[in-house]
Amino acid sequence: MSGMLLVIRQGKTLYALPAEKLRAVQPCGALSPLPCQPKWLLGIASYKGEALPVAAMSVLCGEEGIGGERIWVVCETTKGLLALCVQEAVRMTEGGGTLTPLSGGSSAQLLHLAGEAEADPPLLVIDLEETADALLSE
Amino acid sequence: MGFFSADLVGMIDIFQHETLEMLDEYDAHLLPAAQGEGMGPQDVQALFRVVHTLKSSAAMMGLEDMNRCAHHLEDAMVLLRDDPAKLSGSLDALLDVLYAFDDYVRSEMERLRAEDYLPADAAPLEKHIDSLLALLRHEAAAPQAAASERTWRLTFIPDCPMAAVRAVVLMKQAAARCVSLVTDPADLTAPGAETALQAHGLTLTITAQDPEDVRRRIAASPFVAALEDVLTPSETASPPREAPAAPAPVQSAAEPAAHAVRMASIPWTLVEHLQSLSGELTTSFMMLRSALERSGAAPALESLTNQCSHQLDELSHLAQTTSLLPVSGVVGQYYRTVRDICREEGKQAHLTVRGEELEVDRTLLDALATPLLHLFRNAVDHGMEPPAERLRLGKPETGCITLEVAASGDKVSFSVSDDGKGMDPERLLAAAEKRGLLDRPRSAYTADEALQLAFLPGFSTNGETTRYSGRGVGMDVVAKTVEELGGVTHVTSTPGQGTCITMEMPVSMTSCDALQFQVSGYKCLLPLRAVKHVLDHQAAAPLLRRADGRLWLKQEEALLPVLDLFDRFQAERPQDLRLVVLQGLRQDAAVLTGRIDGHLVVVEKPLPQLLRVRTRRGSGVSGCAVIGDGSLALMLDPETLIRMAGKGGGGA
Repeated sequence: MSGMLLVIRQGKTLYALPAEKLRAVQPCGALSPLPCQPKWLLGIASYKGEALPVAAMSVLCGEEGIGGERIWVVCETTKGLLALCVQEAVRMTEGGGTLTPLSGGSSAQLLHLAGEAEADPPLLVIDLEETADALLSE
Repeated sequence: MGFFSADLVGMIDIFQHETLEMLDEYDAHLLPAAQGEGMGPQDVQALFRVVHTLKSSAAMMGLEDMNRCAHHLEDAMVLLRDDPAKLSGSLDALLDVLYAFDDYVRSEMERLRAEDYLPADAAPLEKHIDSLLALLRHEAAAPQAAASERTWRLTFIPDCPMAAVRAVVLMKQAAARCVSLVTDPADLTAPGAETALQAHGLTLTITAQDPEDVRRRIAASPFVAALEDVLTPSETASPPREAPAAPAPVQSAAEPAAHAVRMASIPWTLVEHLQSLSGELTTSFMMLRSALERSGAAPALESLTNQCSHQLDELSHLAQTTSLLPVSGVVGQYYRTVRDICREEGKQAHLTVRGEELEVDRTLLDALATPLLHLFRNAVDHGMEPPAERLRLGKPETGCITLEVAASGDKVSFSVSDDGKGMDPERLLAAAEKRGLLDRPRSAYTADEALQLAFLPGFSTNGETTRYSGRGVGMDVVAKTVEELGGVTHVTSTPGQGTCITMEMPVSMTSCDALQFQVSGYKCLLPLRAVKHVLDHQAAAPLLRRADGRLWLKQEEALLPVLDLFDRFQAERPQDLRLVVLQGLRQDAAVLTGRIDGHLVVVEKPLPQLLRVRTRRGSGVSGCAVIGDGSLALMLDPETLIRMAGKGGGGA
């Protein structure tokens, strides 16, 4: 995995997102809830004049109830912009070498992972496109 | 390294733009022939000009295949120009070739910017053109129809907006069907022409093979009050003039005038940007006004804010006007579609378009292009009987398909009707039952409800899948697109007499006046155009009825279904409730809401793609808009709410 990664923390796990997909990292803002939506959707927010869906990272990775999310990481996908509401944006890091694939493919959660990047501690790299596809069909 | 050399890359955009503009003109001259009205020498001359220009531009861009095809086609046009009689015997073959050339060039224009662009093989097209050339070279000359002269006095309607511009457009359209056209005043763009036209109208003298057709077309304009005959010396003294053996170039006083109108051609992205900025500005102004009110400074600045508000309204109106296009600009493809399917299916149908002078938002026209194609396909494939069967049934051999565009208030409708075999509700019900698409017993459906089944996904009564229909996706696409545009689709049909499918929707899809209200924690909006009135729930209690397990509101002579938005949103119901009575495009309903917060102008934004379909279908939320405090409120779609209410929306 070449290029820069943004490292984010949710619970005890460190995840990474390709920096080229990042549009903004900002404190949580005002949300408008939407009725009849799946649990992962916290609501929509006004972002540069457009409606931005904000997803609860804790629900995506199956670690609900931890709390303490205070950051929105706004990412670009082919299905439009998506903000992940996370506990902490830790640092930017170099992507380095190839990813170690997850045995049996991606995770069973809504959050899809591209693999593990070499780091200390190791980083789970999020596959944004697969994740957006999963959210669309949820 | 791509196909184009570095010095040509910079010219691709302009080449593409000019070529597409030329093809639009080319298509306009094919229209009369596709409508079954034949092709005149003036059309041949105009087509020749386009093909000739295209030939040169293609050569300049190094597109040899396109240049060669244009050259061969030019030869064909020269043969027709020199002997217009050949047109009568080869019109179908000519149209096929002209459309094939159109398709080829358009397809090339679409691919031109691709990194791996290579010109498509034009050999099949060349062969096609060459066979036309062979046909034309052996075609015997037929006698030519005589042209005759007429002089008319045209009067515009009182206070006609931009009479001079209307005159230029009308004369340009008329000139295309005339051998000659002369107007008085001659220069319709000269200073003072506007006043003269308003006061005295316009005198025009035409020479045409079918003057009555020209008269009909001019008189059909909504801006024309009268078109009266003027007796001229030539009419009393001499017989009508014979058309020249070889037509002279069209001598029209209107044509140069049309070019003299100052027009600008700008990229569509700029228009979209202008509209978007205008919307953003409206939103920002609304937030500013809201902040001023909260700070107590509003009264002191009232005059200034009112002035800004008026200017913003005007800007918003102008921004919307920039994207208006006359329907006539897009109907050419539909004549062709009907012609192509008829030829493929061995059927005969004539397409008539009514209301083509209406101007409609380009976004709407673009969005409706595919649904209209499906409707025309269905009209021919499902609706039209074969010619022999029509004769046996006592119908004219050639069927009639009509596209009618109509505007009323802030709604616009597109109806496609045919005089074919119509739809049988029983057959529709049987097909839907077989596919498991019925949600209640077959006997519970009225004939009208049975007809609407045609819009269900996967529905088809066609046992056989043809090139054009039978897979049950077309009508679903129609309904889904219209729903996304905030409209409704409706079908009426009489077995043996034909079918009419109407798509009705709001004219504007951008800014609108909206009613703001609460549904527990949800801030909601409804377009004011759909709100008939608001009732206090307690005061309206005597008007509420419970029947069939549902809540109804008595209004005038009807019981309207009530949709409980608290039930729908799974939200807690407060004490303070309101009933908002909605006026739909086809039927009315009421929704139970919380407190009303007022009304405001909003610019509707689409929902994020990830949520769009699920949200509209599940809760009736079609979009969102920034409101005074900068937060997003949910825009509800009245038609979806009315549908939900009709299906049993519960009630307090």
